[in-house]
Amino acid sequence: MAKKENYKYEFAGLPIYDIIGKPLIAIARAQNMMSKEQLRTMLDACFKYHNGAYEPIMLKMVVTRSFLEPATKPGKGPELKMISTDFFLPMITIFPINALGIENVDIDFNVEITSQYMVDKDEIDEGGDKISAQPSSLECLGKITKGPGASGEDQEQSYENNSSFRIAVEAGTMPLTKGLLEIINIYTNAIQPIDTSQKNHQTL
Amino acid sequence: MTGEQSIQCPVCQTPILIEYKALIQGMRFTCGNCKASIGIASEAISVAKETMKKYDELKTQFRDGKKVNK
Ligand SMILES: [Zn+2]
Repeated sequence: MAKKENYKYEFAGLPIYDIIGKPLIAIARAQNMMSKEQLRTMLDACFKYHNGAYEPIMLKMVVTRSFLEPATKPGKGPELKMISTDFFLPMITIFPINALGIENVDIDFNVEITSQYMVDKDEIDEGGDKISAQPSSLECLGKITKGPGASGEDQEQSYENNSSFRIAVEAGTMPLTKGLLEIINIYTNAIQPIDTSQKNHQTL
Repeated sequence: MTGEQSIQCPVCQTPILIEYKALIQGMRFTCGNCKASIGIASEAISVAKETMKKYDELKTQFRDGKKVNK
């Protein structure tokens, strides 16, 4: 008889935090996979493997600016001239490398509370939860229903003390990591032209 | 996704918004502050196009769930 009770208890529903958390964990894992793939894409496209290290593929760029050349002959005004300078930019700074992440996630479902019970402190400690400071905690079990106020068979099978609610979770992309932004920044700063005509120029 | 990136102006360090596909096609972008214009050197355009093609292929492979051979 006790065994039958157990059976009923186990299938009464899933912990609510599992119902809400699992899709988010799945998304986080997918994001993690994407990040790895993204890194490989970046390395494949923007770097070349040489002597055991990845070297950035550099792209030759031109910057053109105009300047006013002071008049050299009396009676003539200053002359507008163009000057072009070559510089090299790592390929990685050109491509929108954060475009491979998850852009937006919208999870929307209904959960029906099938049962609830109190969990004492010891039981929570076993699970490793940090909420053990509380003497006891209310846990809810639930199941995903098809839509708000599920009708028909679902309704008939529901427990006496059930309640249903809708869960809408919206997750956005994480921006690029600080480390990666810093690398891009270092590369970007490195394109600043250095005036080699001055003897005591600052090195980067 | 617009493909917009910004790179620092080599003259005055102001961020210049660039669209990488247009840049790779040879378009030049002008700094809003000092009016310097930047673009890929004509001799480097083919290398940039090749890399963009590879990058797009890798992205497509990834999106379609195909295994990228390495
Ligand atoms: Zn500028």
